[in-house]
Amino acid sequence: MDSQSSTADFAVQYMQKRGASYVEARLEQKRGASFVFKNGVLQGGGIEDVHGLGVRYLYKKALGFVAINNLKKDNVKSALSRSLAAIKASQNIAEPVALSTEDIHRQSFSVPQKIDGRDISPEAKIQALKDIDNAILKAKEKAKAKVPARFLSLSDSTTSEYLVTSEGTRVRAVIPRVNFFYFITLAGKRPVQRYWQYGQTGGWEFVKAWNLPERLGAEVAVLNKNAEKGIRAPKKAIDVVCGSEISGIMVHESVGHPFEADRILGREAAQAGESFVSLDMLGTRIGSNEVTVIDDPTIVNSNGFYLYDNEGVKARKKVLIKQGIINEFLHNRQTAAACNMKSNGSSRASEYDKESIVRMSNTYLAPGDYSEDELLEDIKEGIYMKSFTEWNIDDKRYNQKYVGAEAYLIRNGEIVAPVFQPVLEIATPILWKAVDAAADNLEYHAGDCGKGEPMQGIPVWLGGPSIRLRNVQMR
Amino acid sequence: MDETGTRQLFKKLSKVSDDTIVALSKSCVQHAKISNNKVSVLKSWETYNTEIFAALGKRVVSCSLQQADADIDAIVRQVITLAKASAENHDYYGIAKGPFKYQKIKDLYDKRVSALVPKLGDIAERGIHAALANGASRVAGVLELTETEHLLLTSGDTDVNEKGSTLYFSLRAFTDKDASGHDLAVSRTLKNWKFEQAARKAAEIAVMARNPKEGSFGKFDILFEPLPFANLLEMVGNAASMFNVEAGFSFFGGSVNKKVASDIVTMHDTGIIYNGLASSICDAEGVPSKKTAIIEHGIFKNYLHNTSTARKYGTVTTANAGLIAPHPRNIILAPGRESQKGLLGQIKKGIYVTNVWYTRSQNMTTGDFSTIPRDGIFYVEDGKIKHPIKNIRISENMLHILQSIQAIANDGKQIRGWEVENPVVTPSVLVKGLNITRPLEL
Repeated sequence: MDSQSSTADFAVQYMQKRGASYVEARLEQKRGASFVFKNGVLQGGGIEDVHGLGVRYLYKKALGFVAINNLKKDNVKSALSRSLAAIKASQNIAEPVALSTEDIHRQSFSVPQKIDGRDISPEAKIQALKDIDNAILKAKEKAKAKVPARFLSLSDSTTSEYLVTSEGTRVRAVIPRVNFFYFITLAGKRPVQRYWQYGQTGGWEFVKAWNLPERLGAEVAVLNKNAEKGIRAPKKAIDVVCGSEISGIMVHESVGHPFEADRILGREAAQAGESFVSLDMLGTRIGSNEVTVIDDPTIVNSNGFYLYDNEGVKARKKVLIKQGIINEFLHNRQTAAACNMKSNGSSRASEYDKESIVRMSNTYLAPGDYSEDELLEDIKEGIYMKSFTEWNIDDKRYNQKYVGAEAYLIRNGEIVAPVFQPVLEIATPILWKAVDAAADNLEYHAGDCGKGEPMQGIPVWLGGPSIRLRNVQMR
Repeated sequence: MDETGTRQLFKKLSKVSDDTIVALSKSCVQHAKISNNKVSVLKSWETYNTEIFAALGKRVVSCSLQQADADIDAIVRQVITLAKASAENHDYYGIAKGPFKYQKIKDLYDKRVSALVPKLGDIAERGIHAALANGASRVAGVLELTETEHLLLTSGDTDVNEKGSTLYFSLRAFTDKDASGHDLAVSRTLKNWKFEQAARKAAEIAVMARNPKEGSFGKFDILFEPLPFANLLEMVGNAASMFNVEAGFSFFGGSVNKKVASDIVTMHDTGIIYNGLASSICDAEGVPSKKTAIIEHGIFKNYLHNTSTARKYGTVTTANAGLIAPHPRNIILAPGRESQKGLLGQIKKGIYVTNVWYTRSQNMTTGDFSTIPRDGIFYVEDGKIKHPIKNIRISENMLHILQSIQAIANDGKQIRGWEVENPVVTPSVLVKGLNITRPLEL
């Protein structure tokens, strides 16, 4: 990587000499390994080896981006020259882009890890998957369940990045990652499916800490019970307690996304969509006092971890909603300049060959003071949705749906029966105004968040504690 | 890695593995992202991607290289070391054995596409203008020109070089915050690319979509434009892959020769259709592309296979490799005879849907899912569009949709998009009695 840094430096200097007013080059090297099991059979081992350069620049206020992975100097020069020629030819239709003024940083950061995934043998990784698969089969036998399909994937990678800008910023980062994804099918009286993922920056120690055999075994037992014995949810307005998985996805979809300033300004209108939120809603109420939502990339070993974003801006914790009031949006340097403010370090690119745009990192609902039991205590009749299957939300982030996976009926403060796939279909302001209590059991969950053209899937955490919604309509 | 390096890598790897596939793709892409009536960024990609597949007996390794200067010996060592350390894949039954004869497919490459690159800004401007001139107040979209060179080498005696080009234009037009329309134009060649027509249509939908009323829940007949129906049919195409059937990602398990759709539904997968975005002379293991019936007059006929899954089930490949998993190429729904207007005229109480997004499954083995109509959505009564609506969701089952198809129009269109990765060619389709849900309070 060090020997290649000069390629990025060269790209910046080359574009400056040709009249670019701002240049930012990001060199990325990623190596990874993955293994996939389908129905107990290893489908194969996978190797990923990526080495490329992304260059983003301003020429007379027009924004250009070039990605290449032939890093020979002549090739870098010719690709940059072609891009420059194209941008010169489209000046009349180009949006004038300004970037906020930011501090210059020369920093390095890396993610702490105890066990480097590269030091774990393929045999050990395959055995880890076998152990998970065996736990599913054991739970299946015990529960007398039918599990006709099991899909498991385990991967690790290490990414080295070097970011250099024409303003003098230089940031080096080394990011190891581990990820696990599963998709299981139960085919009993009522067939059910469930998929979920685990992901963190850091080493193999987290794969052990996730305790996957035990968790997936327990999940099979619970899903089977739910499908076999679950009653239908009452279809009426009722109190609902949402577990951490659900409060996490709600926050991600209906707060994080609509608070992305590029959506609000219309830059993502082509596909990812816009926002029901407008800039002038800053300082207005969107939820109850119990609703405080944070996006924080600085959580060590989190899935959305970084200390400097892909524009070299220092990362910080952002309070998006403070006690129900809209407090801050997510900005990169472009949206910050459009709003006459500073970036809050939310610019990310999923790979070297993607433009960095406004993204979430680790977005979560702040915990409250109650225990989860206390949330249930005074509910006369309600639903506890612990986990979910299907979900979606419209492209303005207003009309959303969550279907429960593990769910229960609450009567007089007690869980009395499993409920089969309750459906909550609700508008964003109604959802957040219905929250009257948050528990103290904050958990984070991994996700790959999609946005941009071409689509960029970026690793995030979505999190929250259990929350109580009063009097919301169930279907 | 260039062609010389790729050939060296193949030669070295095939000496030490039983089955070997090395594929090099060189892509040159020019992309204009449009928002607020301007080009917000001009992007270009010049990248080399090498996909490697090797099997030692039943020990299988795949490798993705995105770099031009890989150390060939190191890659070979890495692949073989991993294969030796790996466990056997009992589902693996080898790759195709050639040599094969290939037929030329029309309209997959147009050398004039690269000549358009300096005019990217002009084309974007023409597209934006076409929408604004037809009533849009604001537009956003993507314009993309792609040229690819693909080299495929296999130990089954395949050595194929193929060039391709693609033109892509997708535009979303707005007339108000709550009123928009979307259409796209995709093609392999310039002569088939009607991008200004797509811009005009997006604007026309946006104009019609002004001042939407809240939609209602209940059962409605739905007339789908090709754009949203492609989103659903991609799900159907993916469900036909044998890998997906095994993995629980399909509602077609045990469906061969069973009725899965209305009698008027005939749908096939093909890699040979001219101008098809996923057409090429062969699949990823060198088997000559072909056409495979998935559904004929409502009866499910064939799963999609690569050589390995075909051998496992005692059949022949359908030329849908994917090395680990077979996948659809171009999914085609056969057209009907009536016009879209004729279909609209059949609706007593229904909805005309011009786009959907965020399609998510609840259960892929049963086909339960929901999707959210967006852009122009219109309430229809007695064959006439009454007014635009908003805030509805289609909460349905894919097999129920296939079985409830009442009429298929004669207006087929090729679609690829943000949520439609595998290209689909579909006409407008009328489906009876679909379930619409929405939040009760907004």
